[in-house]
Amino acid sequence: MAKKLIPLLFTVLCLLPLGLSIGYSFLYSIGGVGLLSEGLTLQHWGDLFRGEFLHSMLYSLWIALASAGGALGLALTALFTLRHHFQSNSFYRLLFLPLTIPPIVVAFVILQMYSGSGILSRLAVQSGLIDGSQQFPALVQDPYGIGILLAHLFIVFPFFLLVLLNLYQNNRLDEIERVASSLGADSTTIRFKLQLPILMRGLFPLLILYIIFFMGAYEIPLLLGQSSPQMISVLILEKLQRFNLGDIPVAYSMAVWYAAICIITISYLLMMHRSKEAI
Amino acid sequence: MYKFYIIYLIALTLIISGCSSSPKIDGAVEPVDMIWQEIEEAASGETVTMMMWMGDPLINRYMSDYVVQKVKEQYGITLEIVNGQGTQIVSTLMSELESGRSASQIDMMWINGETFYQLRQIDGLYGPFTQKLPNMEFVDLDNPFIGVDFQQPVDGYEAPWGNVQFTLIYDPDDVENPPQDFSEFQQWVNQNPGKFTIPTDFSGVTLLKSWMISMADDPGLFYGEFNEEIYSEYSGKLWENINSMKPDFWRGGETFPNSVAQLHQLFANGELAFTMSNNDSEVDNKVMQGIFQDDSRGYVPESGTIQNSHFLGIARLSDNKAGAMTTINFMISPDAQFQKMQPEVWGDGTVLSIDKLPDSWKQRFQDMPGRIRAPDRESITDRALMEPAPEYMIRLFEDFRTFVVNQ
Repeated sequence: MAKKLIPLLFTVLCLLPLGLSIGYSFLYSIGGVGLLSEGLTLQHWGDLFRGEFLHSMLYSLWIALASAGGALGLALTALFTLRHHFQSNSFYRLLFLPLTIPPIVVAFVILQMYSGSGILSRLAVQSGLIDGSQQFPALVQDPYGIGILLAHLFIVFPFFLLVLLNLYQNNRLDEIERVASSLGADSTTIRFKLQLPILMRGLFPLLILYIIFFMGAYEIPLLLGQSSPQMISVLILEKLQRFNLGDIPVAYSMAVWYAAICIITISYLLMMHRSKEAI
Repeated sequence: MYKFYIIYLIALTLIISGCSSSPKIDGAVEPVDMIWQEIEEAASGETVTMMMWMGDPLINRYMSDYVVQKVKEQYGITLEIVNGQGTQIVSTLMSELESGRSASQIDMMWINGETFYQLRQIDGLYGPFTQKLPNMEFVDLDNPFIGVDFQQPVDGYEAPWGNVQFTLIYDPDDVENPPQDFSEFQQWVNQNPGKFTIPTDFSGVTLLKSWMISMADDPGLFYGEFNEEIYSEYSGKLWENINSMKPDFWRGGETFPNSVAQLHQLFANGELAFTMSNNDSEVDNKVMQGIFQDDSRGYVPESGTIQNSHFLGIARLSDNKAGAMTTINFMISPDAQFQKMQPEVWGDGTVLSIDKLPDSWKQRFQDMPGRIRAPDRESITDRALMEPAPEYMIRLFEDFRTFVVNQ
């Protein structure tokens, strides 16, 4: 019974409300519902491809890939170079610390540190490195999203490192290294041909989920992002809440398309991953 | 297994549809059909939820320490304040109407012209009710800055609560002679790169509106209904000029602050030489709170700025209309308006006509302590521009993003 009950509960409590809200957004986006709707139309979908939505999607994708890629790169480097230090228990526990800090607080700290009137800028002015705060490089609310990336790295790098350390231990990569090196493999081959593929296979689903999570980030880009282009969640919410009530169906269209693109991408990637594992 | 799913789904659909379609059976008399004494009696014991912008600690304190206490003492009304403004109010009421709810979670709200316009569009407001409020007799409805909201007749669907004029605030260390019109502003920005910017929110759009109107020889062109030709002509000129200033804006115009709060912060940090406010007395408040430097000054350029009023409205689906009406009547009383107008309380301009007040009140209003850093109210009234129709604001808001921010 429990076997049947759990999937049923999951469907009723999670999937059904999700399906209903996506369905409602879909109807809203084509004028099927809505207080100001004037009948069915595809015009709001057409409005999506005038630029703002595409820019935001690409920008969000960039932020997501750069955040996940950066965190992965840092975590792998730390794993391979500093692994022995992490074996001490206290250091290992320290890695959990950033996970306990709410994202909005991280964003706020980054703003305090790196904004034009932030701590670093003031130090630079006082030490005579720059003449005024205007000369301080734009690190938050900047075109490349550096502030957002820094916040994401701070939150996720330690978590990736924790997962990698566990994967390393559970897959006995130390022993693999010893065996391979006794068989004459050099350290580059061991790292890239043996250990990395094993680690990546374990980390892959998590990596994909984090990319999706970063794409939908809201509070960090709200505080640290620039006014244009905006991350997709910020844009959708702003469209929903702007002065123009005619923008509401456009916001719903964005939400539907964004959800569809995410669902299709995740399903495809996870299917690929599973079929690879099967081989 | 699938049978389970299907039965569950049907049950759930029934539950959901059951929840949403329970029409209200209401035989009770509407408050607008009662006499005032009955309204006050009906109000006693009601819990009224008011949605308002809670971004200013002084305003919050005025509400919680004064209004909430007084309506409890005098009328037995429990007033609960929740945070939310403009579009949040609209979207809350809109989803309630869309889902067919019978009672709103909001009873009354603090609104401005563009929200009034949107709420009228979705028929979310209750009224006309203001004719029932005894204190309306003191309200200066003949003043077009109070009796008309964004060129729309108020029609009794909202009660004026306060009246303010847009002001620029500057740091005299950075700005020796504050620019008096748009072209002087262009020159100043050109000579002082990086020290000026425009937020992309309501305040920024109010500045853009003031500049756009001042570019026409006759501000009257923008009064009355929205006119596409006039908008296109003057907004086109406005974007052209602003884009030529843009490289000299803060951060080279690559990004813009998304709220006036952020602008205030940049001004307080010394990154910017100007900030702005929809409330002409805000500079005094902010200095008093220690946020702005002591020597900050507020002013209205000769070319003029928008003066407008803010209002109180009642949700059409409110279950506590008598309580909301009684609360609003208290909030426009001479007592509450006098309290609110004092610079150290809030400094919000009154909507009452001093001439219509009883003599004792007249004297008290006239003896109110003057402003220190904010411009004198009487001197800026000559420089007041009326709010144009809400479509101007909606279009400027969109087009500022399209033609300036996103470029």
